[in-house]
Amino acid sequence: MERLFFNWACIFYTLSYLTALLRKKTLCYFSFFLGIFINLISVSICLYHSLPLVPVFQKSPFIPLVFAIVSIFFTKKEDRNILTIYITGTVCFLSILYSLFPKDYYLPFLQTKTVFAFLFFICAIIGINFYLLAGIMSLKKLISKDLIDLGQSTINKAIIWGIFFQTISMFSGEIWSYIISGSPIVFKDASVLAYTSIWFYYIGFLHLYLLKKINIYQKNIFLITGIVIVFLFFLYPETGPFTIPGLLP
Amino acid sequence: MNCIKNLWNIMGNIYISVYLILFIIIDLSIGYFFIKNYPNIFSKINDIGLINWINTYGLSYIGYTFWFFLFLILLFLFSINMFICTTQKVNQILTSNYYKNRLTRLSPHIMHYAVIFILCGFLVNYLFSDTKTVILIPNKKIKVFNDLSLSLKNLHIRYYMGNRLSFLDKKALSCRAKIKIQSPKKTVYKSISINSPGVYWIYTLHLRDFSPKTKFAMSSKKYILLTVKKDYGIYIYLSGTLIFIFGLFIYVMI
Repeated sequence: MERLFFNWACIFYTLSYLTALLRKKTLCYFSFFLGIFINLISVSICLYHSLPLVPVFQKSPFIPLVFAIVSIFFTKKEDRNILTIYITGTVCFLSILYSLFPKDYYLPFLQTKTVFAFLFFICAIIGINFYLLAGIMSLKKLISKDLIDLGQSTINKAIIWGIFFQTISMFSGEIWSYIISGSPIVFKDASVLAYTSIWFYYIGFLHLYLLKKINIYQKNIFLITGIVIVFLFFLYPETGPFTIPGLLP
Repeated sequence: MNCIKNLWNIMGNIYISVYLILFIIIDLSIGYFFIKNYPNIFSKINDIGLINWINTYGLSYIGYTFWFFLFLILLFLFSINMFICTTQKVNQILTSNYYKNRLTRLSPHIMHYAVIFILCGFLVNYLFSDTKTVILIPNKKIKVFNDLSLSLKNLHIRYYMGNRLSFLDKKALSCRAKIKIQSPKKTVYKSISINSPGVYWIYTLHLRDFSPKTKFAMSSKKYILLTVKKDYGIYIYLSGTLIFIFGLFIYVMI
């Protein structure tokens, strides 16, 4: 049932992107918020059928929703106006990706019944979406070279919040792994290395200011490359085989 | 003396930090591919410890594990670089009158030191910890280590009887086991569950599995699968984690 709602959310997200391209602001906002609302229903159904266990293998319906919410609450109104096409475009892309390529359904297991599993799950999604937002802001800034409204400090703040949430996620994962197995790292799970690679990448970004030769242009290129890293290590592993999305119960 | 000073300055160079981070990312990306495709080679690190793993799986499958050895070397160099670089900056902040809000300025460096703590804790955990996996049945005493014997005194399993979580229908939702721990010093009782390990001295008891899993499985015998860990590193990396979170909150909030 949650997939059905997610597919409908995808339709409204797509509509919001198309209307943003046509500069129909009211229709764009309406369909975007309707998409968020329906996406929220799909996520609520997913949680209703899992809690108190955490659906750690079902990240996909959460990703576009969290990106949409992070974009709304983090960016200023004037930034949002500049970024409308980019934000709706990203949400549209993410929802189409997970509608057409949904991951196989894995049941939550007893070991996820802890607050650490929940923090590991949700903070990773929030952190990654901050990185994505910083990436698309950099992309916009690079494409419109004369654009001065979109401040670099906003982009840097997005990265800092991304690192904050991802660090909380990784530490929660470390404690969770410890309490269930006695080891802070589960070496058989490749996603641990994927998260760590992403974390090191953005930690590297935070240290770029110490290199005098690096300019803002190169920093933005670094963050745009970050979108590729995030896609390969976080977004792509959440996809599954191609499926024609269903829209009827 | 000059030679040591030069080496100190070179090892603390920020350009080296950035290059090391870059190499770590590349190395982890290679590792991601190998763990994804050959997880069984790496899963044993947790069970047999780092040294035993290196002597067996690590060296036998060097074509698949080379990135891991490289990762250890890179982390070692990164830790040294981070320690020197951070110490130089901290020294600068503490001795100069220029900085007004010292705690905020120090917060990234608190996190740097914490990372070193965490890495040391991990190293101690994987080098010196001893892991045993045992099956306990009710009232049967098992000697796990020379100074540690365990027996299962009570097993309480709660089954899900609702409709909301259909996949858990009449299956176990939680399990609590009461363990009698006997050592030459004393005898204690600890209650443990899936997400709540028991801690006794330097030992931790982790409940990995149990039976019966379903409510009406009358023939299933009662037992628990337990991982018993003699761990020296836990307090080091947990304190490192707390220090890091402290530094992170100051950095983000102030």
